[in-house]
Formats: sequence, structure tokens, C-alpha cells
Amino acid sequence: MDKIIIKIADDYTKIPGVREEIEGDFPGEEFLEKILLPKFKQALAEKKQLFVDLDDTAGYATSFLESAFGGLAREYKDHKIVLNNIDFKSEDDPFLIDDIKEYITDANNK
Amino acid sequence: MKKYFTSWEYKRRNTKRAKSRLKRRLASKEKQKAKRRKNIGLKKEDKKKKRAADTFVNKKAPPNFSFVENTEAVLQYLEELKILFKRRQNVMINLRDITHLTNDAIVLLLSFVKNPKIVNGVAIKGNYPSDERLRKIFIESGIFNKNDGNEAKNYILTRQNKKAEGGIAAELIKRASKEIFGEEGRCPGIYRGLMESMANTCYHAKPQQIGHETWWLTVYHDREDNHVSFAFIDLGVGIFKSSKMNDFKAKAASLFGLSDNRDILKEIISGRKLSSTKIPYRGKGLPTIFKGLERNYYSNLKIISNDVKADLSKNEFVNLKTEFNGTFLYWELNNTNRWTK
Repeated sequence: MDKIIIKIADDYTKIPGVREEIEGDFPGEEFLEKILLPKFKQALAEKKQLFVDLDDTAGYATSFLESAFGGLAREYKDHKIVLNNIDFKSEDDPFLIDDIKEYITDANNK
Repeated sequence: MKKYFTSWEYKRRNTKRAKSRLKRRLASKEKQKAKRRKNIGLKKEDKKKKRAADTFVNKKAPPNFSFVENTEAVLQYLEELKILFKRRQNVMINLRDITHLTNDAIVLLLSFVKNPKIVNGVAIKGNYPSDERLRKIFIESGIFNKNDGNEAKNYILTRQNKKAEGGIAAELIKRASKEIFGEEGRCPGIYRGLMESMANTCYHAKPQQIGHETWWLTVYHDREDNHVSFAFIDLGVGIFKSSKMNDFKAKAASLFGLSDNRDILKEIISGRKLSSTKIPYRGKGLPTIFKGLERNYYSNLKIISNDVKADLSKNEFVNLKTEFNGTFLYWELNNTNRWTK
């Protein structure tokens, strides 16, 4: 399956922030709106997989990951669509991928 | 002459009164003389300075000046300072006799004395520890400087802000990793913990006022033990007094009988979130910080907030007699923790 690649360190920032812009720079909501959601829509339209490379940044706050990837699941109101069409790479932090998948799965549980 | 002045009763009283007045006059004169003697040889400006110095109340810090190790005594000291600030009494923070010092106490004192609402406009001055090593740490912290001590130092780095600043976190981690691993690297787990702490301050430290509370972060390299300690602090309302937490606590009490803040903290860090309460509490910050310990991102994690002190590495939760209004987080990075180049 062909891939559309996002490398956060190159395409967005090396120092990701937290959830909202009011809390600081490079928030997860902005990343979702400007990069993740458009690329995910493109991937679905072109029947490709979205591949997110998480390496080479300083790290990620939970609120950044939750608002970006959980936010993506909330956009589609179904976490399965997201999980089936997205893949990750994280060699810097081996726990990160499982965390993100958990945020995606929990996103619509209120 | 009136008969009264010649009476025995009057003479007795008058002699007694004269005697006591003379005694008082002589004592006062002696006091003035002693005061003048002390100022002999001093210039006019020095005399003025000395007079000003005499208005300061000398507050001796606890000899073990470590917030993580001697929490109650340090909190008690700060309470006493607060009372003096409220009375608008100038304060001299006397650190001369301290024998032990950790960076967490420095950042606590910094956040305290640089907070205009606490200090209430009174003048503060301080001296440095007589111990040469502790003295150096204190001087480099910039605690008694008029500026904010933001310049880079080798020993101790202090930063403050109101927002979550990834640049600051990344910079401090780079320096810390150089000290511990011999080269500049990244510690994604520490970055995560710091950003989460900053975000918590931004959102929860002052209810209904996002981004109003200042956080303080100090990073210190202990060369003897070869670890870098991170001490993060905000003087907001604390974990257990945020408005969100009040709802959470009420439900926790009614459903599970949890009323002690130690139990509440255990519940929060476990990440169970009391889902059956149907409370929209989705805070992942503290569970994430706790997970960092399990994942070996860092060691020796401690949390102090309101009436709870938790040593999460040892699973110890203690009730504090003196309450701490704010949130304090502490952890250490050593050469066994995770990092990446």
C-alpha cells in the first residue's frame, strides 16, 4: 500500500507544544488542523496509508498527542477509521505508538 | 507651701518617683552612648545603611534546607516569612548556618520571593551560606539578585514562564544529558513530563485564569552522585484545590469513600479516572508523569501539593501538617535512564 508521509520534526516542529495555542507554541490542535487532518483526508481519498514519523523531536506532551490523534478520531467519530489508515514510526520512544493508539481508541469515550 | 508637700507620704512617693526616673534616664543615656560607640568611624552613608538594616527581621532558615527531604520545616519557614510579609515587615533571609541544600528549596524560595503578591511590597535581603560549596550554588541561582537570574550557569539553571515552552524544556534537557551522558542528547520522557507540568500550571494553577500563574524550573547537576535533578514548581491552588478536582473529589467520596487526598492522588496517578463517576475528567498529565517513572524516563519522582507529599519511587504517601499552596514536582536523571542522541 502506498503511503503519505508526515515527519513531524521536518513538517511541523522539533519542539511540539501541548494542547491549545493559549498554552504555548506548536499545539496539537494546530498540528491537527494544518497538517494531520488534511493529509489524512488526502490519504483516504487516494486510498493510501498515512505514515507518521515521530522521531527526531525533543519529545511529545500527552496533551499534544491526545489533541492531535485523539482529535482526528473525534473528527471521524470512529476510532477504527483512523487506526486502519494510519501507521507510525517511533524509534526514539518505544512506548509512544501504544500511547497514541490508546488516545485514538479512547477519543470518543466520554 | 501647701501642707501636702511637706507630708511624709508625699516625700516618700516623690523620692521613689525621682529614683526610678533617674534610673530610666541613665539607662537611656547609656543606650544612646552604646549606639554612638557602635557607629564610631562610620561614614554618613554607612550609618544610613546600618539604620536601614536594623529595620529587617532576621529569619534563620532551617539547617537542612531541602524541600524534598525536610518538607515540614521548610514549609513552616515559608509560613513564617508569609506572616512577616503580611505585616509589611522587611525580612532578612538568613542562610548562613544551613548545612544541607538542594535545588528544590532554591526554586521554591525563588518562586516565593519573586512573587509580588506574596511579598506584599516589603524589602527582602539575604545572606549566603557560610559553607563554600552551598554558597556557590546559591550565588549561581541568582536568588538575591535584582534580575531574574536567567543567565546560563554551569551549576544550576533556573527558568520561569507562564506558558508551556518546548524550547526551554529542550534546552535544559540538552544540557542535562551532556552532564550525565557526556554528549548532548534528547530525553523524550523528561520533555513529556516538563511539558505536562507546564501545561498543568497554565490551565489549572489559577481557576478561570488561563496562563496567569508563573512556573519555575530549576535543573541542578549533582556531581558527587552524578545525577541531574529537575525541580518544577508553581504557587497556584495546588492539585487538590482546582475546581475540576473539587467535582472529582466529591464523586470519589460519595462512590468510593475516598476523602483523604493521599487516596485521591493514588487514584489520579493510576489513570483509572474513576470512569464510573461519568466525570469528564480526562486529565492525563499526572498519570503520564507517573508512567515516566515506570518506563525509566527518570528516577526518584516526588510530588508535593496541598497536604500531600508523595515519594512515588518508594510508593510513600504522607500527610503534611503545614499545607503547601501550589504544586511541586521533582525527578532525577541518571546514567541508567532512557535517552536518545
